[in-house]
Amino acid sequence: MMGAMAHTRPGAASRHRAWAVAGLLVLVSGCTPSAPPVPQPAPTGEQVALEVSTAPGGARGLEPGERTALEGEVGELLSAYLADGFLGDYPRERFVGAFDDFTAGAAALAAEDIRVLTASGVSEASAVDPRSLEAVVSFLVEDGEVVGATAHLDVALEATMDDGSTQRVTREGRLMLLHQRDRWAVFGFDLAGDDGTPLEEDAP
Amino acid sequence: MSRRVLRGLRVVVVGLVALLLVPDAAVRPPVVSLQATATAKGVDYSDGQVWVLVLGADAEGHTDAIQLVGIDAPRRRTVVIGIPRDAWVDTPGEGFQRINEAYADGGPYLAGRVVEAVTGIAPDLVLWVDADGFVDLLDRVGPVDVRTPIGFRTEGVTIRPGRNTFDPEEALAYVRYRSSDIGDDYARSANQQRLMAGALAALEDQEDGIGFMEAATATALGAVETDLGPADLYRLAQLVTTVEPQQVDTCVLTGTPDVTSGGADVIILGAAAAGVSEDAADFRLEDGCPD
Repeated sequence: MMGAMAHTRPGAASRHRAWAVAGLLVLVSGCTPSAPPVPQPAPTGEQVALEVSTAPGGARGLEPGERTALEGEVGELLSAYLADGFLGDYPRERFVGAFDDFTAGAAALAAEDIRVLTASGVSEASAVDPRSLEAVVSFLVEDGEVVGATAHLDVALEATMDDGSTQRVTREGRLMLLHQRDRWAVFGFDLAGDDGTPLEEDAP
Repeated sequence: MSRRVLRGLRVVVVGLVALLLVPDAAVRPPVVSLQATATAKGVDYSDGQVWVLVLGADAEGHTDAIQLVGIDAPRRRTVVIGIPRDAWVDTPGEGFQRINEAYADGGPYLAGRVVEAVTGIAPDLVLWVDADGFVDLLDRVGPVDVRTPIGFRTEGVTIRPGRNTFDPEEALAYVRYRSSDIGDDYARSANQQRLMAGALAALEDQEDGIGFMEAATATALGAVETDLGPADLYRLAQLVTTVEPQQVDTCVLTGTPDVTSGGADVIILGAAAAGVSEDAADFRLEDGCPD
């Protein structure tokens, strides 16, 4: 089974104006990558959906319906993160909204690495467009209850600069999530990437 | 090898191939531009500093591996303090006895109290694992490379000086071995630390494998006895992956050998042992444990 939903996180609409227009889609596979999601025609020519799938064996202990629902929940969090951290209106100055779904401690850590965790390095671009957005999720399930998950992200975007040149922006790695009180929160991250120009490592 | 490293290698290889394909020196070589890849890694666990008492028990429940691990995630520093299992300590409610009996007598609380009395450091968490759990955990992590200074043979396993690659059973034999030819209890504790370093490196090699951390945590939930709930154990496991293996200082507390009235060989830890808490306050132990 496959589902597609527009990113409609309650209370987040104002933060995602650009993508409320463009309509960042989250495609949840509802199945493992061994049966990859069938590409859906995008509503507009420019749209690229965030494809979320569960890793093989990454949902042991969950019913298929639960797994699909959880994929959707994680996909919604990820789409909010990507929309706030990488997409949206450009040029812009604020990127910290990307950490709204992070735990307080993780948000503080993330703020120190904001150049890697967001596209703030190309904040002066005139536009940033997605080229591919993929996430493979593995859930930790204990006694039938989902405890946490790792979302393995692989995203590629294209930043269009003032002079018309473009830069490829990529990020690859993990977001670590906890599921508590029916909500997902990012408690850790391990991401790498580049903005098409060398990123500077933050000082230790 | 992580996907990041592989990707980096691919970029380098492409660059080298591009250079080799330049036809001759007269042709201006193309500029091969390697983009810098930046990384960001962080795990929210308390304030990022945690002291974990790791106990490994024998078949009778005696904790013959006693390692106090301090992780300072923000500064990427880690210290591991080994406590010899023969340390003769005043145990609340029990009187003087070997430190390795505390857990069996009073569980994590008593074990933590005794270790705090010895080191001046109160563990935040206690993890207890027996031989079966140890093997399960290492089975999940996979082969572990360990560099050890002295070779020996034990339980049918030959340990060579230098690098060894252990499967779980071999690793168990390695950390259990105790004989005067390696220096008794102190050397065994140091061997346990060497294995921990190898296991950490193996863990970090695989941490970004899809599903690995979830599988490892699920294994730990079955293998380790702890008061931590699944979510906190998961967070702790992820925190451990932030440890930089080259930023780990280790030492083993030492003391004076003695024999009890009952004829048991024990170690009387010096008063300086408690000073390790000051030395380790900034999660560094470059000079080892205080004598």
